[in-house]
Amino acid sequence: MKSIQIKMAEHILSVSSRIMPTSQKQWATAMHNEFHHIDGQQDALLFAIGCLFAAWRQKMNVERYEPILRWGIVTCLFGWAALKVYLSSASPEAWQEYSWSGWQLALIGSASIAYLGAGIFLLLKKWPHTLAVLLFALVLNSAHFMMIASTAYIETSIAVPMVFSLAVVSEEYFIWALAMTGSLFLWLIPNLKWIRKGHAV
Amino acid sequence: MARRRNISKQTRLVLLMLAEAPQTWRYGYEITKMLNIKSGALYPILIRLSEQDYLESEWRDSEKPGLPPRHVYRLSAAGTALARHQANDASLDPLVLPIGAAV
Repeated sequence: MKSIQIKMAEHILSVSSRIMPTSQKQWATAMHNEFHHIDGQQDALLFAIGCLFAAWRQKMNVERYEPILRWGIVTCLFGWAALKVYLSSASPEAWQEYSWSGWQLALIGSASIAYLGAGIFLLLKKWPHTLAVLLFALVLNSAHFMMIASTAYIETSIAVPMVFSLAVVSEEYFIWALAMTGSLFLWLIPNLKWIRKGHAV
Repeated sequence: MARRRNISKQTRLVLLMLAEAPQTWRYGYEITKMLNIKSGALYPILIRLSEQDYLESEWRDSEKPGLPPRHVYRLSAAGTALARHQANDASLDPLVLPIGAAV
């Protein structure tokens, strides 16, 4: 019959195994198997507690940037989309004054929805979905850019809306590049051994 | 080969101990006992050394029937060179292996 200490140690090791980053699961198995070869109950319990700390350190080491980066990108995406929605709803006269066409508003609105969708997929850690939606946002933004860069638009527009449109499109590209780079990084980093190699010995 | 200066004292101890008998495979628990360090400190060191190709590891069947296989470790050629560099680096504080750690 197993003692309370051994039962506690086994429970701690199973928690350690769950905490350990996916890319390092074999080390959790190594620690768990090693535990079975320890004779003293006190030693076994102390070893298991150490393994819990080791797993936690590895989790922090591998994944410490992940939540900060993910929430940072989500905040940018949601913030930018919310700002555009606020501007379009709170001061429609301003948009009218800038004589934005219906097409422009449709493109800006669609891009906002795309950014919101990308943010939601990012929160759910659905990396391929996030990238697909971001690519769709890029298409919308590029269409917007081509529209304001077209000869017809320049001829009918005045300076202020033109500059404002360019500012919006530039900001869209900036947010898009930020979100795309960050999402790719978050998606690929757990599988890139060379990045982890950069850590100090 | 990377020669890193920012190596912790415990990592240097592990390197020097393993370098004492570079061909000998060691168990994790065995290393904790020989160096008198906790498993919570040892395994992150082993993981980092392994990821940087300074450490070789493999699974060995247990000598005791009914027990799971154990992970064993020894320094790679790069790890041995790093340990030698650490041992000879005059700018670093000299380390003394605990009694029984040297083979």
